[in-house]
Amino acid sequence: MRRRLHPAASFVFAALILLFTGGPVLLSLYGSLVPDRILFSRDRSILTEGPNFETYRYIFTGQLPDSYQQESANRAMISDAARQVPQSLVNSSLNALAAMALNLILGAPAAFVFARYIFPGKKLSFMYLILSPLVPAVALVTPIYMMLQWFGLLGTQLGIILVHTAKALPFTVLILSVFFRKIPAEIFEAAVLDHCSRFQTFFRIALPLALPSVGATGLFAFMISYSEYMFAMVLSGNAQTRPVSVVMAALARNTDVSWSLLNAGIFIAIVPTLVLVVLVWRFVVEGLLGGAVKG
Amino acid sequence: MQLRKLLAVAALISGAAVVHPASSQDLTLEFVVWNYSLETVQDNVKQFEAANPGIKVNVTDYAWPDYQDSLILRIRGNTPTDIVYGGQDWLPAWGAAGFIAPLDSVAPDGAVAELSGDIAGFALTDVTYDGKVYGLPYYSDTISFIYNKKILEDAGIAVPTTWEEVTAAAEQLKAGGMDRPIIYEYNQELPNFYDAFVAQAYGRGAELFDADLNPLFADPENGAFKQLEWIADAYAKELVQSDNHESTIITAMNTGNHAFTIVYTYVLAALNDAATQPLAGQFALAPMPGDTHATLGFAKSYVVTAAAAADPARAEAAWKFVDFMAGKPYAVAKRWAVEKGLGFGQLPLFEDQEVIEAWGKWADVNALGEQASIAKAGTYTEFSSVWSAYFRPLLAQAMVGDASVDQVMKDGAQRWTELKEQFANR
Repeated sequence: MRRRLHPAASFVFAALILLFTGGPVLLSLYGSLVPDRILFSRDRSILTEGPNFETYRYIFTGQLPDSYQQESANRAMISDAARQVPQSLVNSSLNALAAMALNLILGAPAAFVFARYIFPGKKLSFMYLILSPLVPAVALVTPIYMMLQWFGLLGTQLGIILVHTAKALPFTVLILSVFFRKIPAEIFEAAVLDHCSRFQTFFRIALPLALPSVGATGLFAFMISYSEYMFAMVLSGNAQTRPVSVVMAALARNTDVSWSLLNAGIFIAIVPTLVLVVLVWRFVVEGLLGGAVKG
Repeated sequence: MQLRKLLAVAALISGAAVVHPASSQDLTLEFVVWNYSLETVQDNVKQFEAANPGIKVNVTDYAWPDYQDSLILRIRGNTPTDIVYGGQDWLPAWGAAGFIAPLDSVAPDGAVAELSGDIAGFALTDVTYDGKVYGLPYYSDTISFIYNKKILEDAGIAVPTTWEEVTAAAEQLKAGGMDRPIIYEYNQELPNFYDAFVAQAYGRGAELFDADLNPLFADPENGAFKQLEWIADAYAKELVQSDNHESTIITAMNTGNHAFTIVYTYVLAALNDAATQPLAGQFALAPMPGDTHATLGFAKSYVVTAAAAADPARAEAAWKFVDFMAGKPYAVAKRWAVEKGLGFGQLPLFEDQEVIEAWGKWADVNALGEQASIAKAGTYTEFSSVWSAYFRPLLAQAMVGDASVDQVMKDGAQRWTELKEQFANR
C-alpha cells in the first residue's frame, strides 16, 4: 500500500523549494528597486521610500543614479559591467538560437542514421559520441582555445556557437535516435516501396513524425548554450560578443560595486531566462517524455 | 519549411559573427585588462588613438577572478597580446616565465628611470622584478588604520598611535558599552587577510624577510611575531568582531557599533560615501599604529609582453601607450583618481589641486600622501602565493587562539624555507 505524504509536509517542502528558488529572485528585485542607502538602512525600506528605478536607467542609458551625482559620492562603486547586460542578453540569444539550429541540422540526420541503418563502425562512433560528454569540460578548454585561435575564431560569436553546438550535439543525437528507433519499421518499409530515397524517408516520414521531440531537443540545446559559462568566458573576450552567463558571473562575483546596481543587473539578466523557462520548459518535458514512452 | 527557417537563421548569425580585420596600414595593439570601468578604459584608449595616428588599440577584458588564468592561457596560446594589466603578486612569476619584458627594452634611454623618480617606493618595488622595472602604475593603494572620528571624540579618546593605545582605547569603548570596538576582515581565503597583517607588522617597523629572502618573523622579537600576539590578545579580550569581507565591514562600521578597522584605503572612500552610507563623513585614517607608522602598499601596472617587445614596431607603439597611460603629465592616472577615486603611485598627484579637491571629500589627502611616501611593498616571489595560501589558515588559527603564535610562526617560516629551496632548484 502506498503511503501519501501528509499535506502539511507537502506544503513545507513546497515552501522550502519556493524559498530557495524564488527567494533570491525576489531579493534581487527588492535590492534593485531601492538605492544602496535604503538597502543598508534598518529604519527605511521600499515601503517608506517607494520604488526607485535609477539603477535600471543607468544600465539602459548610462545616466548615473541621482545619489551618485552628489558631493562625496564614491563613483568607483558604479561598475559599467552592469551596462553590458542588455547586449549580453542579445548575444546569448543569438548564440543559443544558432547552436540550436546547428544541432538540429547536424544532429537529427545523424540520429536518424544511427537509429535506422547499419554501417561499419556504427557502434564505436555512437559510443564515442555518447561518452564524449564525460570528459570534464575544463580539460578541453586549452585545446579548444588553441583550435579556435588556429581558425581565427577567438573572440567571435561563431567560435562560441560552434563550441556550444559540439557540447549539445551528443545529447541531441542520443535523444533523437531513441525517438527514431521507436517509429514502427513498417512505416519506413512502406516508404521504400513507394521509392523514397533515404533522404526523402528522413525528411518526409521520420522528421514530421518526430517533430515534437525535435522541437524539445532543440530547446534543450538552446538552454545548454544559453547557460554555458566556462567556454564562453574563455572564448568571448570583449563586451561586444560576451554572453550573459559571463556578464552575470562578472557582476555576481564583484563585491565592490553598488549593491543596488548589482541587483538590477542580476534581475534584468535572469528575468528573460525565467520567462523562457516558464514558457517552454513544459514543452521540453512533454516532448522528451512523450517520445520516451511512445511505441 | 521549418528547417529552411532554421538554416536561414544559422546562416544569418554566422554572417553577422564574421570578424572584420583592422585596416592593414594601422598597427593594432592588443590591450588586456580586467573589467573595471571599461567605459573609462575605452575612452582613454580613444584619446590615445587620437594622439597617435596609425596606432589602434583593441581592448579585451576578463572578469577579475578569471583574469590571471585567462591571461596565461592567451600568452601560452600565442594569442596576440601586447600590453596587460599586471599585479604585484603575479609579476615575479610572469617575469621568471619570460611572459613580460622590462620597460627599458621598449622605452627610449632614460625614460623609465626618469618616471621612476616620481613613483612611490612601494609601487616601484611592486613593478620591479630582478632589478628591472616591468611596469608603470595603473592603480596603487595602501592599507590604512581607519577609525570613527565621532566615536573617539564623544568618548574623549585620542587617536591611537601604538597598538597598545589601540587596546586601551578599545577597552575603554567596551567598558562604555560598545561590544566589539574593532572589526577585522577575518577571511583566510583572501590575500587581503595576509596583507592586512603585514601592514600592521610594518607599522611596528618589522621586516618579515631579510635581503636573501630568509624568514625573520619566527623570532619573538620580530614585529610581526609581536603583532600576531597582539591580535590574539585582542581576540581573547573580546575586543574584535570578525567579518569575512571588506564590503560588509563598510556597512558594519556604518552602524556605529565599531570604532576601528584595518583595510585597504579605498574602503575609506566607500565608508565616507555620501550616496550609500548613513555615517559618511565620520571616518578618517590615522598612521598605522607602531614605531614607524609604515604600512603595506601595492601597485597594479601597465606591463608590456615579451612578444610585443620582440617586434620593434610593436615595442615602440607599446611604450607610447604605456607612457600615455601612466607617464607624465599623469593625466590618465589623475582621471582615474578624480573620477573614480582610484589610488595612484605617482607621488606628484598628491599635490594636484583637482585630486586634492576630489579626494578631500572623503580623506585627508596630506595624511594619505604621507602614508604613501612611507608605505612599503610586500615580498613577492614566484612561490609567495603558494606560501600565502599555506600561511593564511595558520594565521587565522593563531588569531583566535586555536594555535600558538610561536608554533604558527615556526611552521610558516619552515614552509617558506622549503619552498624557497624547491624553487631555487627548479
